[in-house]
Amino acid sequence: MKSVLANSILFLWLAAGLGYVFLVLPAADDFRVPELARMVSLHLPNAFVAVIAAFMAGWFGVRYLTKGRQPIDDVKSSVAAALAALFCFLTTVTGSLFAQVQWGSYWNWDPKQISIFLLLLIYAAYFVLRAGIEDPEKRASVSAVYILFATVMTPLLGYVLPKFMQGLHPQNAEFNAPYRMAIYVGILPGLIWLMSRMYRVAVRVEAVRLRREALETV
Amino acid sequence: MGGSADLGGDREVTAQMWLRSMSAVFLKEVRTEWRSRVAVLSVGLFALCSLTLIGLSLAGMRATPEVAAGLLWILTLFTAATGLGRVFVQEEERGTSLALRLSAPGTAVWTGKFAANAVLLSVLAALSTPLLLMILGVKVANPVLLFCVSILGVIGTAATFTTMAALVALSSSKGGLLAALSFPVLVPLFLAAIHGTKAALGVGNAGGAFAAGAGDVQVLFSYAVIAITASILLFDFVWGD
Repeated sequence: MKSVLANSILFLWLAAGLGYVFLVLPAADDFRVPELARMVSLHLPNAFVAVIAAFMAGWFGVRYLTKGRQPIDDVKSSVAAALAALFCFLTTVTGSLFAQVQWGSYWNWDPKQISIFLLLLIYAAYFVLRAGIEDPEKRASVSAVYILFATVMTPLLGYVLPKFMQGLHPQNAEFNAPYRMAIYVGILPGLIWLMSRMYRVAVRVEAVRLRREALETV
Repeated sequence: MGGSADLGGDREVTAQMWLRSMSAVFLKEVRTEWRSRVAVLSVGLFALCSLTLIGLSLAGMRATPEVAAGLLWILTLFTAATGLGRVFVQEEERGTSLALRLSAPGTAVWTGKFAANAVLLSVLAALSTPLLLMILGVKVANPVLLFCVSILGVIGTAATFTTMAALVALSSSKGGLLAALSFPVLVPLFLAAIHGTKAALGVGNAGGAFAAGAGDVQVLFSYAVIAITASILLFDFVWGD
């Protein structure tokens, strides 16, 4: 009953946020196609949520390795990694559509585009790696080590990429009040909430599967 | 008083033991390689085939230094992907990894294998780089810079590949996965290495000044330090149990 209520509030929040973006939010005149500048209010929150999920994957990887190797921490880490991949993908799609109208091409090898593409590659490799290991304990520690190694090495990209190539993304963009409203009130909280709902449901499903496997092996 | 002195002595002994196991692992790798020469020959032949293909596709044309720098690091990536996985995959296939686990601490195993991989990749790079530059007809503006960029790039690549090899060895799909795991985390290294190689080949740096690539050498050095530290900290978690 509680979750029905929570889900309906979440649904209403997201509907209201999207309604605000599509119906109320004014067009931004300094963009090439002012009407389509609204895309940024979907693009940016997706990127935030992807980063949150990526750090969750790393955090539960650390927990798994240091806090007694509980299988549930591996489940949490892998669910967070899957969500990070999903929101990276959504960020790429919204960004790519926006790049087509604003910069003239779906893909421009901009530093941020390269970074997100590499993140997608890392998550793809992560899930292929997981699929190739049968023993659950080995799978858990190997994937935790990979996700942590990647979490340590990828921030270097943020330093190296802008050094070698010019970016198209605006630096320290300042949004006006309606856009701040759309991004930080309309979409971002709902999206974080959505991600955490998806996370909880997926973890619960995986936990049931773990328990069933444990029963079968006994 | 005596207790603290003993503690210091113990630490010295463990450090010595660590060094001994590390060099034992390293020498074991070098010796087994020296007996069969499989890695050097097969990977060397692979590099030679790639060089031939590059020569054939250019068919006498001269490559620009920009293209040469890119080809050089593509060659390094593929050489590493074909040659550096063996150190751990072989232990699993021969069933010797358990014996190795019992006889040496994990960090010593990683460091020994990393050293062996770094030496193997350096030897191959030292052979293939001059050949590639000759085939492409590219002149080196600053050999010292080229050497620094190559050796630091090779060390960073070897560190990442050694750790990824330890992960891949436990998986059922060993061959293709190694490059797929390593490449995305190696991109910062490759960007700096390609930029530094271009500077060493005289792109925007006709005088061949070292300063043109000093920033890249710094990035490559920090990459190597971070990759080695992260590997040593993380390796025991996959090796220890």
